[in-house]
Amino acid sequence: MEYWLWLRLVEGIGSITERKLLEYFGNPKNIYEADQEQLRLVEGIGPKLARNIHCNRSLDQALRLQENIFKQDINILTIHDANYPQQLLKYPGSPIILYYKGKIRDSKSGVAVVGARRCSSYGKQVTLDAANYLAGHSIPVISGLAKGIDSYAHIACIKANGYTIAVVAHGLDQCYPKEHRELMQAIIETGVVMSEYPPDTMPRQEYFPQRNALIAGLCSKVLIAEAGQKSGALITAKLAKEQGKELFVPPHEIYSPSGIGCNQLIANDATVYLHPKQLIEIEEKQSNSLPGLTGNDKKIENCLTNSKKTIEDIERETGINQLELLELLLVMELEGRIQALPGGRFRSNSTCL
Amino acid sequence: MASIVKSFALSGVDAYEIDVETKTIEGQPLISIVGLGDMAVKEARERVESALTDQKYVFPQMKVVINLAPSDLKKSGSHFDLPIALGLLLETKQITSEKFASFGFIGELSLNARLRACTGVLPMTIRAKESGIKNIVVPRDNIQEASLVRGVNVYGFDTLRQIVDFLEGKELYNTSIFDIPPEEEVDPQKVDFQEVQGQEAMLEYIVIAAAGGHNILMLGTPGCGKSMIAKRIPTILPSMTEEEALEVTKIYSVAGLMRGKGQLIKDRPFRAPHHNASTNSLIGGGNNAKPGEISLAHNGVLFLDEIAEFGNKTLEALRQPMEDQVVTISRVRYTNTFPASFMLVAAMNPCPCGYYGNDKCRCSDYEVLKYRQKISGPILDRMDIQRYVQPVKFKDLSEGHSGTSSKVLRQRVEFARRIQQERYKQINGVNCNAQMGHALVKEFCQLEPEGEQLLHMAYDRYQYSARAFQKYLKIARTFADMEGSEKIRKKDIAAALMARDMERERAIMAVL
Repeated sequence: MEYWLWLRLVEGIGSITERKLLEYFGNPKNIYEADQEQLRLVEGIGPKLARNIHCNRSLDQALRLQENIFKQDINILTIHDANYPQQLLKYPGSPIILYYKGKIRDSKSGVAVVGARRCSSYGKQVTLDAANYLAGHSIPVISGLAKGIDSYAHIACIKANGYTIAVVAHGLDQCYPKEHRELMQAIIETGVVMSEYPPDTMPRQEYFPQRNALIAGLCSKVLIAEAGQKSGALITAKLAKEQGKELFVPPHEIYSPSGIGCNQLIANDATVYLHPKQLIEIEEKQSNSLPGLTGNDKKIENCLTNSKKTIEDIERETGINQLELLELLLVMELEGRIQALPGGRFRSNSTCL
Repeated sequence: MASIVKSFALSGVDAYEIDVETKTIEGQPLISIVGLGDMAVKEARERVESALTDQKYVFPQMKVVINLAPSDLKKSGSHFDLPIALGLLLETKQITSEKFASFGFIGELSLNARLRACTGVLPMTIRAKESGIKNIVVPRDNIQEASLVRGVNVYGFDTLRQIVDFLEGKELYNTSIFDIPPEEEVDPQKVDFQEVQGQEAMLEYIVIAAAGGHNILMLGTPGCGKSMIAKRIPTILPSMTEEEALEVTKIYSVAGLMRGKGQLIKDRPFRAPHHNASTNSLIGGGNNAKPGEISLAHNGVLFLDEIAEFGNKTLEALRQPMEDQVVTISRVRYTNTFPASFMLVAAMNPCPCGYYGNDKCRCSDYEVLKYRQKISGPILDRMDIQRYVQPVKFKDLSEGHSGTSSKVLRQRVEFARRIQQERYKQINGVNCNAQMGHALVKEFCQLEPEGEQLLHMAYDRYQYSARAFQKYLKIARTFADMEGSEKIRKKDIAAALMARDMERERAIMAVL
């Protein structure tokens, strides 16, 4: 293991060169023991780099790191491990080592749900519904543990007893943003938090695109729930597209600045996202006919289809007294026919989902 | 022998009797007032000297000692001026009267020997009655206040000279001169629930809160009408009994908020302290223990607007008074107990930006939760009802059909209160549904099977705590009482389950 860590610590070589070295020598120990001549036989390694690798043959730092990792209870996956996400092998830039906490499971069918940190209630709802649906169908939900959409995706998945993967841009001994410490712990318990950065790495701006690439590589499909003009989610979208993954984007209001990025993606051939079942391979047959409702509850359900309303609004539209509404709404909510939303609003559950 | 004039001093909302003893001793001209008086008492000597000289009385050129007995209790206020002046006149034999034994005196003197109104006249008069002092002399402005106590002869005067003439029997007290007709109270700011439109569901919960003594927390966007509703809550509470009114008046008298009026306070108080209020201003305290806002709201409504902005310590200090309905202020030098039985009405924004649930809100659920956690669990726990107030639609306003009037609502409240009084007649310390303990809930809150089932469904869905369970039962009890139903029906429990928006919202929030 220390040879793997050593290889990662050598300066001047990135994931792509590392992969090439590994292919040639078979394992890191051989690289460690190789002399400069042998190293130069690998494509892309010049005399300077070969000298650099050769002169850095000290395992001190790697051993210290290994001890640290052991102390922090962090696990390591190397690219040769059977558990290493196989879908990543296809991409030359995939890291040769992944640090993780939690349970590694097959995530080939996983769907990435990412988006803006400062999101609207619309983006939030899209995320919650999608993550909930995916969890219900045992599809892993992959996201980046950031504020906003990312955290909602993780939380909705955990609440629905699903498997969620958080890919972060810092060492696993830290948490960014700090307020997600509890969330991170919860993900570790039921899912996995992974990173390509060793412990003690602080989150830095330039790490995030790299993290996004990992998300794009892990998933089979990407849902961009909400993205403004310069959202980081657009990087994930671009990378995923390059890797040939299908992009799902819900349409946003054309005037809303928080949805511009999304709408531009749609204009550039992303799939318009209308229902979470699009994220799943198997087409499902869903009976769309509403159960036979009579009287007031039908009125309420109709009134709440495709929009969210307060008790006062519902009264105005249905003409049912507010006091009677209280009871009806409660019963319908408990039966799961309508859904309570923040701000004392309700919406129908049979909307389009 | 020292001459003695009777007066009173305040302690909390009660008064006690004071003997003002005056003695002239041969020595350097000097006047000293002993008996732990504060600055207002100490300064009496300047006012008294000026007033006596003004009226051509002789101010004694000797050593004068004035003692306020009992001397080990702190005294404050300017109402000792009159008894001190009279004591001096009596000691220097410039006045002779038999009346001093059966008279108590209260009043501040101006430099021209006129009498000024002072605070705390009502509790002092009550004390006079209790300790058998038949007559009391007060400044004219305080006559009305003093007259609220029956069984004590109240004499109101304008000047020191009048009092002296009266005491010496030179002039008879002519009531007709001083008979002030009670002011017809025309309050231009009289509010009524009629002005609240399109909020039927919210109003129903307000009525429930008033009827069952439940505290209420209103959530809503800025400007949606939370304060408007809160201001009108006192108008639907049952009117105060005479005893309650006297209690309230007493507190206001002590706090010095009666000046110029002096009538019995008949309307339930409404107090709305700003959120930068200090702990002591809220619960009472200070140098000579003034009642705080919670005591001023006694028998009425304490409205805390923007409750999340109040200091944490300040809010926590409310917990004990809310439980005990009195507040005890303990300092090294004194301990005072003020009544503080109030209905707490609070309002806050649902999230930092104020528009949670609206499209423009960009607060994350975590931030919303953090914001709400500014109010501690125990305080939130005492808010039985937590509802959203939705902004009124322009259509409702422009159509102009008015809401239900306060009078109608009050009748409903009084109806439910009567049922509760009947129910809790035998039980000490419980007057309304909100005060029920564990055992009482079990006894009085029986559910019909249908309601039971509903409660269980909600329980599973929202994972309520056992404590919340009790809360819902209490609110449901009030809903049933409103319609005079012995049993708690399904619709009562349904309405109760909808009473706590904040708790239901917690269940749907995307936070772990």
